Amino acid sequence: MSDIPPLPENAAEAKVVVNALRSKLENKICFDCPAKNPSWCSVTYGIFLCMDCCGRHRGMGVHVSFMRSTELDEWKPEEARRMAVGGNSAARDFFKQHGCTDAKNRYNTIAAQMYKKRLDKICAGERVGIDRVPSSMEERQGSDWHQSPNATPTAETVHTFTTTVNSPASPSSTDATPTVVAISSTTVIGKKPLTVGSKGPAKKKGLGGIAKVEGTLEEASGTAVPISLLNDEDSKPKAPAQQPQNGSGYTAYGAKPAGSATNTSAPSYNESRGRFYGIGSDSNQQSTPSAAPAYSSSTSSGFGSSNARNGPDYGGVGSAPYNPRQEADNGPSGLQEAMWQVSDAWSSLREKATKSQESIGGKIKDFLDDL
Amino acid sequence: MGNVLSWFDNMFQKKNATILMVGLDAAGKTTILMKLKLNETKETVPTIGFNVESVEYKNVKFHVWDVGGQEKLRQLWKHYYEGANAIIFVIDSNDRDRINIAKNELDRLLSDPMLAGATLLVLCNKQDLPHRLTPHQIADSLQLQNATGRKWYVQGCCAHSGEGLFEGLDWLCAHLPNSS
Repeated sequence: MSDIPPLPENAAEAKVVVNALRSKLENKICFDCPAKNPSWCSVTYGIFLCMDCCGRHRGMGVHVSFMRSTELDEWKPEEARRMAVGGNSAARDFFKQHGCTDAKNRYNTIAAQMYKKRLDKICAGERVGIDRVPSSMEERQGSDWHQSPNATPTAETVHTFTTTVNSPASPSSTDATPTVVAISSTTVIGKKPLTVGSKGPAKKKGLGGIAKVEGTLEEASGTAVPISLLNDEDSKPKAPAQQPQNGSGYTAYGAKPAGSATNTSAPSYNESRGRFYGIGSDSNQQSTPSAAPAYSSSTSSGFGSSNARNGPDYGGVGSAPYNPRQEADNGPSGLQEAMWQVSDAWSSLREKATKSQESIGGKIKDFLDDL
Repeated sequence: MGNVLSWFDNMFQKKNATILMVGLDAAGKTTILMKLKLNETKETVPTIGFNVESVEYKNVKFHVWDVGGQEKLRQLWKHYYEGANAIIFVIDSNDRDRINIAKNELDRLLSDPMLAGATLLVLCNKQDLPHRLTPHQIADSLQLQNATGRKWYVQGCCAHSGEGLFEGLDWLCAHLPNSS
């Protein structure tokens, strides 16, 4: 599409683009804190962050915020374009409109999901829903929250606008976006129904018509962010990958299906069973051709045995050479623990009386040699 | 008889092991290191350069080198290869998009002659997240079955809670190369 920034041709060009963006005034200050000249980017939100804030973003996981360094990373052309579509000021306006000023918690809000989706859609050159509205052409001229003047009036346009009602500053923010009214003819976008009827008189202000939506949104934001929303960005490219897992991959290990998982809740004991397990192979003891079958068989058989040994939560799915050898050499883990305790005592003993130890060792060695 | 003695000695002597901990950026290497060393979950910043800590576990003293994982920094990994008895390769299990990049980096690592004798422990971090790949899936994606002649183990873990980390170290203790 013509209204999205062109896709850089290669990684080098992408990096040039990103560095150019970095030198823009809006990106000279960290999005989350007052630090100057941020050099890290959250590609997910198209924002520039300082190193400390980057650390926090990384801690949230790549499904929330995917970080790249402007200096130390290679950039994909798509990522660079996403940064061009985004930018600190666009994101700041968006979050401000939604009343998400808390730098630490705003990324777990619905607004953040919406912004993420909006970038997704703009980058994909997608026109969602609103395409059907013939008057959408007029509306986008005045939408100053959008960075590019010819931006696609996507579904997010509606989202942005409706949610402004949530923030106390909504009158001013709607003033700032007076021409987005054309949306009124759109009925349903995503999950949020827009009631159209009352919007007629509110054409210029746009606030009154949306009063009904407020309730919906507040309800939604009162609860935890639905996992489908949280992972929506991921699920878009990976939908085929995720689906089979619900059926086979997860259940095989007794883990809960992704659909019912909540992002932050600690997994229950049963649910987490089998999550922290390992798979191994001691290829030294396996000939090359037999390596693959031995691998699969050992993982299935080792699972049960290790469960019995380590308890239900973290069994080590050791390869056949691992667990049996452990048990053959050192006995079960209880005995092993005892051995290590003994070894600790032994080492402290050694430290205390190294010399006598050495002499005793010499004597033992002599004795054994004599034998 | 000398064998018996050396076995005896191995049993009770503190072993030293140099561990190279690498992985893609934001996999959780520094968090794991902090968890192992201090048993604390700290908010970390991206590692520019490296961290090194000595961690004693059971009868082994691990000298763990945690090297930054950004793409430019990956070129520096080779300077840490020498003398490494084992590799801990940390993977962000939640990062499905980049598992192939992780595989390429791991392949590059394993093909280096300096690491030919090194034991490989793959830690599948962030297993607490809902969209994680299971260790099984990761072992498949990394195609570790093909890594013949090397001891390897894939362990799921969560650096924040510490679950799975010591299981991985257990395995490492038992499978360190003899030269250490």
